[in-house]
Amino acid sequence: MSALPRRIVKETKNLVKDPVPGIKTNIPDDDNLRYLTVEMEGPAGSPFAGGVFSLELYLPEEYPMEPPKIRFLTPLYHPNIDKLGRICLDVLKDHWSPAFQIRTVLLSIQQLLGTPNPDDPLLSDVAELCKNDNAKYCEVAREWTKKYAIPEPKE
Amino acid sequence: MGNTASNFDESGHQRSPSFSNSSSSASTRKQSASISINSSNIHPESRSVRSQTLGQSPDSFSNNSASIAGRQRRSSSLVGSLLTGGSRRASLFKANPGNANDSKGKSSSVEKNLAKQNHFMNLVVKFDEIVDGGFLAPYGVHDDERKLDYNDKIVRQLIVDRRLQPFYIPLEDYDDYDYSDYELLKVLKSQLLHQPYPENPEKFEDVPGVKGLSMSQLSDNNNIETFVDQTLTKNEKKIQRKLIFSARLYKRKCVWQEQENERYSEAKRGLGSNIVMIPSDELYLSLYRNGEECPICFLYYPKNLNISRCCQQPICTECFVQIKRKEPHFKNNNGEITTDVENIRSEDIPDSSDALISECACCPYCATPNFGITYAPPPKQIRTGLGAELRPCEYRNKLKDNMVDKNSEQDTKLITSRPRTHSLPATHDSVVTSDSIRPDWEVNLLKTKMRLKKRFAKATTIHINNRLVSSEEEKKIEKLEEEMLEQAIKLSLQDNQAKVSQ
Repeated sequence: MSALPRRIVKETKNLVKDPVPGIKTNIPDDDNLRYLTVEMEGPAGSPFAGGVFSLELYLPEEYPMEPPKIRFLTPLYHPNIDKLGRICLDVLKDHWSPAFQIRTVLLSIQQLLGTPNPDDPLLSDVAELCKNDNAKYCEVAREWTKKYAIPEPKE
Repeated sequence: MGNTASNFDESGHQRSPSFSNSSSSASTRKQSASISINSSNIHPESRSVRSQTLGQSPDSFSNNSASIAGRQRRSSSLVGSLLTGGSRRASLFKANPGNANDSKGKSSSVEKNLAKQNHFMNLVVKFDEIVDGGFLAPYGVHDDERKLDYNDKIVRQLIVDRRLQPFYIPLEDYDDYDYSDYELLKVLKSQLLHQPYPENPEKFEDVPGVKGLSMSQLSDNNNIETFVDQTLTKNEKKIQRKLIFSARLYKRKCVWQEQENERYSEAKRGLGSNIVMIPSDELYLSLYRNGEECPICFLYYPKNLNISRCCQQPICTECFVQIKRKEPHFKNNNGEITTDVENIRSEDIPDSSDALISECACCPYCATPNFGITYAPPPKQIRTGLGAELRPCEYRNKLKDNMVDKNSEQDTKLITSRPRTHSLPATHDSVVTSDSIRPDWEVNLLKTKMRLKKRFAKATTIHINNRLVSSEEEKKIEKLEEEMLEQAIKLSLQDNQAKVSQ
C-alpha cells in the first residue's frame, strides 16, 4: 500500500480539529483515514430539524479525482435518499470536481435535507408527495425524524 | 521496494528487445489488410448465395419445396447476411476464416502492447530529463493508471517548450516546518524521483508468469501464452493474457524507475554520466523557497504553478494531466449519465449510437467547459536543462540579478510580470487544454460508436429472426422473403456488372 496522500491526511485532520457547525466527523479507525463516520444535524426549519443523522463516508483510492462515497445510516423520508441511505446529489456524481472537499460535500448534503429536489428523484412516490402535498410530506418526514433520528432522552 | 532491482539481471536502459517486435507486427497487419479486401468481394452468383445459406442449416435439405421451417431459416440467414454487410457470406468462401480473425486480433494487440509499453517508458522519471529543475514525467501523486493515459510525447514537448509547468517533485509538509536553507536542501536532495510504487498491488496478486522471471523474460511477450491457463474459455484466456501483460509491465516500470533512481543517486555522489544535470543549491532554493500549494493535491511546488485559463486558479501539472473528458457516454433528459456503454441495449436509447457523446473537461474550480491552463515560465536567461543554454548545475542567483539590470525592456517585463488577471479563450495560443494532451478523444468516441453500431445491428438481426420465427403471418413472411431475395439478387447483379465494367 502506498502512503496516504497528503490531501487525505490534511483534510481529515482539519475536519476533526475544526468541524463544520452542525456536522461532526469521526475517524473510527486511526489506521484507516479513508473511512469516516459523520453525525449531521437536520437543518433548522426543515422536517429533519432536531434530528441527528449518521452517515458513513469512504474516500476511494482515486480521491480526490473521484468523489467520496457517502451514505446515510439513519433512515430518512426524502425524495433524493433511498432506503439504503444512498444519496442522489449531482456533486457526488457527474458534477464532482477535485476542487471540492469533504467539507463542501457534507454541507451540500445538509443543504439537500432542507431543500429536496423532487424533480430529480430517487424515490418517485416520495417525490410525488413532496410535490403535490408538501404538508403531508413534511409530516411523514418529521415522523421518521422523530422515530429514527432523535435520541431517546436519557433518564 | 528498495531491493526489487537487485532481482533482475537487466541493467541500464535495455529497450531494444521491445522494439524488435515492431517489424513483425507490421507484417501481420499487412496480412490482415489483404484479408479484409477479400471479404469485401461479394459473390457474383446470387443463387449460390441462397444455396450456400441453405446448405448451412442442417435440417433444410429434407424438404425441397416450401417447407416453412426451411423458409424461415433461409430468410433469417439472408436478413442476417444483408444486415451484417456481407461479412457472413464472405466468410463462407474463405478457406480458414478462424485463422484470419486470429491474426488480425494478434497484430492489433501486439501494436497496442507496444504502444502501452512505450507510454510507460515515457512515464519513468529520469533525473537528466530536467527542465528548470522539474521533470518530464509525473512524480506519481495520483498513480491511477487509467488517468495517466495522456499523450506522453505531447506533454513532454509542452514542458520542454515551457508551456506547461514541469513535473516538480512535491514537498509534503513545507508549511509545517520553518526550514533553514540547509534543512530545505537536505529534504530536497533526499527525495526520490518518483513516489515508491507499491510492490505487490492487489490487482496483480496471483497473476501467473510474473514472479521469479528476469527482466528479459518479462519483456518477451511471446512466452505469455505458456502461462495462460489452457482450460479457460477463449474470452477468459484473452483477459488473462492482458492481465499478465499489465502485471509484467507494472513490474518492469518499477524496475525502470529503480534504475533511474539509482543513476540519480550516483550522479548526486558525482558518479556516472550527466552530473551537470543535477541542480545547483541555488537553483533548488530559488525554486522551493516560498513554494505554493496546489489546491487539489495539497502539495507544495515551486511558485509558478499553471494557471487555469478561465478563473486564474493555480493547478500543478500532476493534477492537470488527470483532468480529462468523460469516457463516451449517454445522457438522458434528466442530465443523468450512463457510462456503461458496453452493456447498454439498443432499445434503451432513442437514436442509438449517435447519442453517444464525450463531454469536455470542465474547470475544477469554476466549471467552465474546455478546461485549459497557461504557464508563466522563468525568463529565458535563467532557464536550465533541456531547451535552455544553462545546465542545472550552473545556475547562480546573481545571474538573475545581473540579467535584470542588463536586459532589454521586454525581458525585464517578463521577469517582473504579474500573473495573468483576465481569462483567455480555449483557442488562445498560450493555452494548453485538456483536449490538447489527449487529442485522440474524438477517435475513441468514433470507435466506441462503431462498436455500438455493430452490436446494435447484430441485435436487430436477432430481433428480426425472432419475429420471423414466432410470427403467425406466414404470407407476410413469404412476401418479405421474396422481396429481400429480389433485393439481394439485384445487389449482387449490380455488383457483378460493376466489376465486369471495371
